[in-house]
Amino acid sequence: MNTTEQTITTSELNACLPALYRFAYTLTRNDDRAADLVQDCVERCLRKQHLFDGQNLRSWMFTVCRRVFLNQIRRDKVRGIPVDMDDAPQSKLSISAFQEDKMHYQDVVECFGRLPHNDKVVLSLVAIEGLKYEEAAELLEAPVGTVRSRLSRARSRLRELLETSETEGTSMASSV
Amino acid sequence: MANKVHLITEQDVHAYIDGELSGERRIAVERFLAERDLPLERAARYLRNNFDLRAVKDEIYKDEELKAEIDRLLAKRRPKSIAAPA
Repeated sequence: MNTTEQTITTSELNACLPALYRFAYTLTRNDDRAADLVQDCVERCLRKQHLFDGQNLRSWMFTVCRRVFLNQIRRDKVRGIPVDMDDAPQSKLSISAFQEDKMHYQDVVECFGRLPHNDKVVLSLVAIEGLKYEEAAELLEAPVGTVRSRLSRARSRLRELLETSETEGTSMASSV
Repeated sequence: MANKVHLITEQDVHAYIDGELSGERRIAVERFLAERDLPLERAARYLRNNFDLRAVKDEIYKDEELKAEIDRLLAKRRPKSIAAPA
């Protein structure tokens, strides 16, 4: 395999797109935003293709996609993500996307509220406060392994609650 | 160690999402996820959940019992990364 210069062919790239799109959709929860993210990601992959090691394109594209998404989140954070209804945007399209967001955030708050107390604590420390596992373990006076297993359980419980809530939510489709 | 086989566990995926992994281990988890649709989708959801939880932090901390405990735990931290004064 040629390791000095890697070029990505269109067919290789196209083969990755369905999985990449699904990944982007899960991150953004919205068709338009997912399509934009995939687009940004593909552009970046093509621009940076000299950095590709030629090993596993799918893995690399997914890494790039994650990074592009993180950058977008950071950018949005600087601009301020509207979680509040007060500054509702103009167009119909963005209103519905916006309301979807609002409903989703409400779901997150509700489902989080139903978690056992210990799950809430470990998620707050790691996911919200951004502590390293080592730090969280120190504060909780528990081994790191315990933090890892508590976190893994807490996240899957939250995911299950959210999934249930999402499937229930689709039945009450409100068109605006 | 070129052909080292990595056994990727559920906990590795979480560690990856939380930025706890580096080097070879991180690459191994990325490869693992890239090849598997369901774990990849789950990882994306967990990653998303991290952002969502941060976005609704204020709402979550309305739970006074939780807020008190988090404050108590954070107060035990050694004073190295206290928020910068305004």
